Amino acid sequence: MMFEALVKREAASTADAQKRPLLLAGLNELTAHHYTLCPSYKNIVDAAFGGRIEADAIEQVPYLPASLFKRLVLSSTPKPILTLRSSGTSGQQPSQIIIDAETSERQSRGLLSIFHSVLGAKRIPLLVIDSRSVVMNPQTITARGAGILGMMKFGAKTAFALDSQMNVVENAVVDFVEQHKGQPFLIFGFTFMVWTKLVQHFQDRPLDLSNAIVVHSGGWKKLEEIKVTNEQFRARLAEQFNVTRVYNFYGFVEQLGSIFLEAEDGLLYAPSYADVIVRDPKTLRPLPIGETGLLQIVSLLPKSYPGHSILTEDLGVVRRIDNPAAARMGKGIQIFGRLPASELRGCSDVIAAGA
Amino acid sequence: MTSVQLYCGGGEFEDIALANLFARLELSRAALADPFAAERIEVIGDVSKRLLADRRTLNRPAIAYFAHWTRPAALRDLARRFEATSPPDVVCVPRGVALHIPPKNVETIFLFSWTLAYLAGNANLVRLPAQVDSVMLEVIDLLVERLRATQQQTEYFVRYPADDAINAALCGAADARLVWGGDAKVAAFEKFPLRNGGKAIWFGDRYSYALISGEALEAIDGAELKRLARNVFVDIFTFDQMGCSSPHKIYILGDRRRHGQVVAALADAVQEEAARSGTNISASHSIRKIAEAFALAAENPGADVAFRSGELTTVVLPAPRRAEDRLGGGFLTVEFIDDLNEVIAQIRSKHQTITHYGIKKDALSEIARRGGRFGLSRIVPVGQALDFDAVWDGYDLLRELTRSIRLR
Repeated sequence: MMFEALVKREAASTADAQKRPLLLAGLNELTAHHYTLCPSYKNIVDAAFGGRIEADAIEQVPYLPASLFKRLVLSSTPKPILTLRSSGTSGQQPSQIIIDAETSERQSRGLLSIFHSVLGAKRIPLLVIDSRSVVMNPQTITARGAGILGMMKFGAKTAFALDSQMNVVENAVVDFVEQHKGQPFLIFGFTFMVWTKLVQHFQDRPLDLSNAIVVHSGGWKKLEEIKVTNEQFRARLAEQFNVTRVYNFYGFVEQLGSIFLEAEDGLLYAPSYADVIVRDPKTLRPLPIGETGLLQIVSLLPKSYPGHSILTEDLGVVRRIDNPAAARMGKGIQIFGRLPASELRGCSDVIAAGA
Repeated sequence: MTSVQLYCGGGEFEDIALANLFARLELSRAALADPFAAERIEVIGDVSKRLLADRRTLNRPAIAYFAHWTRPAALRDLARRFEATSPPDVVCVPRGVALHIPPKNVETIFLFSWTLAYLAGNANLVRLPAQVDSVMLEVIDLLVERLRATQQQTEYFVRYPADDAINAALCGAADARLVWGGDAKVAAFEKFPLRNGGKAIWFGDRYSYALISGEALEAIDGAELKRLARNVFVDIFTFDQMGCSSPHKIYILGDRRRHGQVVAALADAVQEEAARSGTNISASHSIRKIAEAFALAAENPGADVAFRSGELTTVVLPAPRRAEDRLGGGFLTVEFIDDLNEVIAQIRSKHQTITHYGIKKDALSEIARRGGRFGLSRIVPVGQALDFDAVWDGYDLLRELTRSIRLR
């Protein structure tokens, strides 16, 4: 299996031209796998992709829109062990992703291959800028909780910075830093949480985080609203806490374990077993490097659900292919957030008295 | 005292206290006109002429239709039909003050609503939609300007933020009320009584679809297919397919194996027309349509999905379903039926318009007669789904907006 071969390689260590044929072979295997084991997936491939499961190029591999996982529960495994749910914005159906033991194990190994270069081989103390309550019940876990659980595999002596009401427990943070002074430790949280609960909360209280490696994710939407860019975010962490190692990553629940990690050049790079295609939002035709469009993420990881090729509603651009100087091979991308949501007009008014 | 904003033309509004507005409406009540009074026909006809003379109207289909519908010859036809259908020994008079609550976004609706009530002789109070685009505002300006030149000031275009107290007060001053905008909107107004138990006219949620003969499709040439595609395009893409009469599903009378290809050719031609004419379907809605199409495909083995290039997404289903697809924005389901009885059997009370192509007149009468008991209020050729008419949603609006006085 191609995943086995590629997951052993360090993330972003394979040049794009070498990676593509390997990925294509693996993706075709997975299309056949899901076609056989997931009847709904078979019906979709038959109806919308002419039943073709052998693609000649990565761009031709059938894809599913991410939002389909909000409409349908798609499973390719007889032995699910848990269902991942996206936290979902208010009023929306959450995504439901079926995970079995094998895919769960692949996710762990995937994350390991991605974070190995950043965190080293040894487990290091972990401070989570979130509440323990988010990971309390693994059976009904949200994407947010799953992300934290994933990172906890790299951490030792995990501490949580927030209580169940999402208030900062100052002592927990201060004690953690004090206790692990002089050795590397990991801080993980969602970008907005790191900003509000760490940067802003401790702006008048000195904290020396010079040994910290900060890993964060979740997107910039909320920070854009308060006009904070990635550069400002990094600068502020450096200035306020002496943090120099800050890594943003891009990932989503339908593609858990196939995250794109930020490199020194500020771009996000895929792990060796995943890749990105940028498509024209209107025609869905693949776009060349440098043009902004919808991101389709392909990955050899998902076996328990047909998620090896997912069309997202995120906009992004491939800035560079292979950057040996930054020791990052493959496509380096930048993300611009979600497609603007839109409402259709119509005869029927949504809010009764609002018209 | 609460107030509303009165439209004075040129994009300007001025506050008017409700007490003041009601005093003016009281004066209006004394200045009602006969149905189809010459002066009123002239007002509407003049506005129509101005619109038709404006080259830009050509590129504004909704306005063009209104202008065409209100041209003097059409108004005379409307008057003749009203006259001819009035019972003997009856004198028709306007109801009084008509209150119009149009939908948020299908802007032209209130023009038709107002025009019919005005022609019937009523004084009118129109709540302008929350968002009125600049094109629409130009039309309203033409109207307001022309109305100002009339003898009697009886027409009021207002806006106000959603407010139950204002809604209640306006209803209490109205003799007729036309509420457009779906069931929730209707329910929101149902609780407010009208003056002296006036006439309430409701336009709730409706569902519409098309019926096309597979045999007829096989028989047409390329040029006719193009014309048909143009008509289907107009039906679907006017108001982003979210009008009450916009078709969401096409029933094809005939066999999928026999007609599958020509139906696909029609869908391709509709897509081409949409791409050529420039629709405005957002990328996020296009993705929503793909997800919906895939979900239908997943649940219906043997379906066929074509999502082309953003504008039109079609799902051909292996068997007719009861489900009503209403995603809109260029989303069509296609279902094949062997027999028109299958269409009649699925008609529900909320169904409004069937657009048809290649179906024989007597078959359509049969659908109206047998299916009409369960629902439906319009059966019109493909291409006319959105063409507003004085008979709408089961109402003969000119009749509803007048009172009949028995005279012996």
